Amino acid sequence: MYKTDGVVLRTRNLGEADKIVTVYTKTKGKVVAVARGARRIRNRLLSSTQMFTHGRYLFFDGKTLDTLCQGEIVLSFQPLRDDLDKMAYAMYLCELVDVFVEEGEPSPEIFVLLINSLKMVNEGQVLLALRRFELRLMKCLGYHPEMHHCISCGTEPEAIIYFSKEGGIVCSHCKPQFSTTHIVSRGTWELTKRLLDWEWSRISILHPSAFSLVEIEHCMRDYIDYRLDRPLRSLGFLQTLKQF
Amino acid sequence: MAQYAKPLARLVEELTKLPGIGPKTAQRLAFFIIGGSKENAHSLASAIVGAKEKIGYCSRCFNVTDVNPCRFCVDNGRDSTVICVVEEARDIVVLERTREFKGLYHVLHGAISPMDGIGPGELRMKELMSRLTEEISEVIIATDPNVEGEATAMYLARLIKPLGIRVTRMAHGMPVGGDLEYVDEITLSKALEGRREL
Repeated sequence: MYKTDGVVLRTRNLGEADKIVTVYTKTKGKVVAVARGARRIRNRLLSSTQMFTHGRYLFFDGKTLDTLCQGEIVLSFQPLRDDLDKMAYAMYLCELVDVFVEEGEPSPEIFVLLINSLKMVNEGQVLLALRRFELRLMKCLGYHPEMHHCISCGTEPEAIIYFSKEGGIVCSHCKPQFSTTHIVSRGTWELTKRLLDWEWSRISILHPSAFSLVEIEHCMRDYIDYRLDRPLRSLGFLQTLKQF
Repeated sequence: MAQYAKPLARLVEELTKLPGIGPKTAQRLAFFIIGGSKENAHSLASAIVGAKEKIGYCSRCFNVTDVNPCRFCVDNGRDSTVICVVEEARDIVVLERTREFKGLYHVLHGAISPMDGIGPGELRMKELMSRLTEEISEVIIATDPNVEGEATAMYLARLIKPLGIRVTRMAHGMPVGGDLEYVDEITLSKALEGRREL
């Protein structure tokens, strides 16, 4: 039996009234557990097992799956469920954690990153939250993109900076060796370094341009695709919403 | 399964394929069936085959039905200006039990669930949009009050509102007969939000 804080990443229906919940917890990392009766209207687990909920959970160890017995809501993130765009962005964050993190690999840093990013999306700082989350998650997982020196020859970048999905920035001399590269402006380059290295409290003083955030988005999209063996499903829905 | 006679083993195997039926329950059901009369067994078998062969989807509302269009769609006593959108056909049965709603239905056959790869294209949304003629004055969205249901409701509202049709959502609130102290904070805040004057 263990008690820990966690964020519900996803839920799936099981049988008549049960749910399988994937929770990213502070002390145990990703936990997949059964919440018995959690779809019944008067069940105590009903609201605490809603997606994006930050709660304090009590689990019992099981042979194959653990059982989620109790849940107390710390922060419901209800506004994320009341706004379609915010909901889609929050789903993207949760899917990133779900697909990249294996069970039983706790990382308090990823837990704090997830909570803070959901808060930022909740408050409307969506694009900055997303780009910071992508970069920092990669860093926490050991896929830190190299942003200071060319990943091929190790020199400092010159006037034109390129980003390769294979690991970071590339100088114009080494660029032909890499299949796909994105040109990155100096402002975007500086912003990326800050998003990777700065602590959470300092991020709020940043006021990046929309252009820089789009440049980082293109780079990170390729970088994440390169690291993953399957496409992210929530991206398809985000694309659908852009049609409105 | 070798310990059973072949026909009994096959019956247990087939029953195990049903949702929520494990090997032990399947055995119990199989023994009940073979312990009963021949007529009961034939009646059960013919009911299963009959339902499978005769039941299809209504071409208008996509409810399960044995006649096309279904009895709700052709009933002149129902209000044809209001459409209630539900996730599954079984939700219609629950709503009909209230005897409060007299309009038409539309079954989406699911809800938007991006993380499971279910987008608007996988649901009967195009068919709903084609039903929204000038005659329709209101669309009630009665999808489940969970993340997927809310996403579906908000997506539909974005599609329908520009047409000038009133879009409403089923209210969230406290269950009848319950104690206030056991109601969770999300439901309670929604109930406060949707409070009404007495």
